[in-house]
Amino acid sequence: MKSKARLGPFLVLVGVMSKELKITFRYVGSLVLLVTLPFMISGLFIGIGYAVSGPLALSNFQANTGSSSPLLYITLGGVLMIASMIVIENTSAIIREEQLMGTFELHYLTPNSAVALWLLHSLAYSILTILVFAVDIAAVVAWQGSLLSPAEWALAAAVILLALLPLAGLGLVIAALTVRFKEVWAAASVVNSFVAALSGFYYPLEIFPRIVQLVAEALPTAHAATILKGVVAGVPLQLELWQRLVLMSALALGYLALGRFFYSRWEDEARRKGELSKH
Amino acid sequence: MKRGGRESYPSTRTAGFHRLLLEVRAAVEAGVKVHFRYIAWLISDIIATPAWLVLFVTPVLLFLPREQWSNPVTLNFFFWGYILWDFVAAGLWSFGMAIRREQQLGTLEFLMVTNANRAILFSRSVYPRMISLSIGILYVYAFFKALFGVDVVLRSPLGVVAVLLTGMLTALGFGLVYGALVFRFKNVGPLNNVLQFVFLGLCGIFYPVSNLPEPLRSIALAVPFTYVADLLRFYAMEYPAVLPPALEWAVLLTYTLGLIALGVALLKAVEGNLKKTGGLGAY
Repeated sequence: MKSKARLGPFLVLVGVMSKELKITFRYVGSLVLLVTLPFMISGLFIGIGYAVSGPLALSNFQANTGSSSPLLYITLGGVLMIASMIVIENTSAIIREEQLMGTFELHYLTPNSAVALWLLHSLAYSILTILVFAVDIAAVVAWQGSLLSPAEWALAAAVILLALLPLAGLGLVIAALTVRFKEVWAAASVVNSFVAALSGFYYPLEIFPRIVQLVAEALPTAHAATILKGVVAGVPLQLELWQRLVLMSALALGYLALGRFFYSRWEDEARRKGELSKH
Repeated sequence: MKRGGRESYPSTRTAGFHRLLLEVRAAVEAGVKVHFRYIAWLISDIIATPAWLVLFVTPVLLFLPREQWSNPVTLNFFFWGYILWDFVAAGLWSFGMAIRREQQLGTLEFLMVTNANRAILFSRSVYPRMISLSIGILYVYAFFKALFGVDVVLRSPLGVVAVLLTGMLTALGFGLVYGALVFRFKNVGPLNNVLQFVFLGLCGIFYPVSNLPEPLRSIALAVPFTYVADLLRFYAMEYPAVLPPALEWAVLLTYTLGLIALGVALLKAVEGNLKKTGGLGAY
């Protein structure tokens, strides 16, 4: 019994993972879309780029980004953008969706921390993203006739985790602040659009004014995009890798603390007023 | 009918043009009410627009030399392309998925027991789409000018309005045909997304189809959205059309009317078939 209690958090993680895995594989079409969407976005941008610019498109792209492969550069951005959107939207909507399904209170009957439970959900989305990243990027890299080393894969996986988990904190802030207004998805959509635009998934942030770059520094996804472009697409890094990782870790702690604070505040108030499952 | 008073709802026991007007009125009311019920979405659309514009336009600019990033012709292409995107999206998501949404909400059977014209019933979102398109052009223009510092060219406003209105009807016709197929085959999975990217890439939404290599160019000319994009740029920017404008109008109008007629016929056939097999409300 004691050993089971010690394994509690791990068992919860296994439970959440198996649930998310089941849901993911229940909708095979969505899974296929998740894997192929980065290629569709790449195809669109590259197609328009070539149609607009002609034969000089590739050299212009290289001069502007430092990457000789638009396909790799944009597919990488696409994987990160879709992953960040999934984490933010799913975490933002978690209270509302569970309330609407009538399952929200059930979580409170278990001895688990609700915040930890929602964060484990985002861990599941992050692991799914790492798998999608592995499939998509491996395909493009292999198509170009090279391979990533195990160390590079490990670094990429760690960077993705470090970038996506804090977004769950952001999602919890949205969830807690907007649950009363019912339209959580609209707020998540706004946050998603700005996170996507400011993270530099598809372009180097250096092309923007300094103020925009400073705002972007506060997003873990911006650092992740820069690191991964360096590791996978060979774009030179301006800051040392360890400096970016330290910055990302600090941001991760900050975002998660913020999410925990706002969610716990909402939870306390909802418990007091009996609004936990009100919808 | 309320006892001793006026009828509580407009009677559809009428015929001919009057009946059609009643149905259109009901569709307008329903469409506009549903659209403006979700104010948060309308506001979030406006707030998020500058971010989407940057996210969408910047990656394409990377394929151009830096000195051309403020080229007004290129940026005007992107502005009108961004507006045209809405037409493709409307055809696939608003009109194409209208029946599917009713199925999922469990309201389809109730709509199907009425005697209303199915095409009018399921195209109600065309009215709020027109309102949102008009408002959307204004704020996209404002953000576009603020972000990229370029004036949007509008050489022939009347021509632009005519193309936009026709384009919306083209999207409606396409949506009715696509919606009938969705009605028949139920879950289309990721097909909407795939088709959206195919149309955006193929139909010259962001560049003239004359830039496409030959086999793709011929395919592009077989898709109605190509003519909407080409005519829109012709009237907005005086950019040369791929075919003579009169011919493009003829093709576009033929396509639009043909698609609407085909959509109505397909809806009727699919509904009849599903009623026979008992699969009307299944999803």
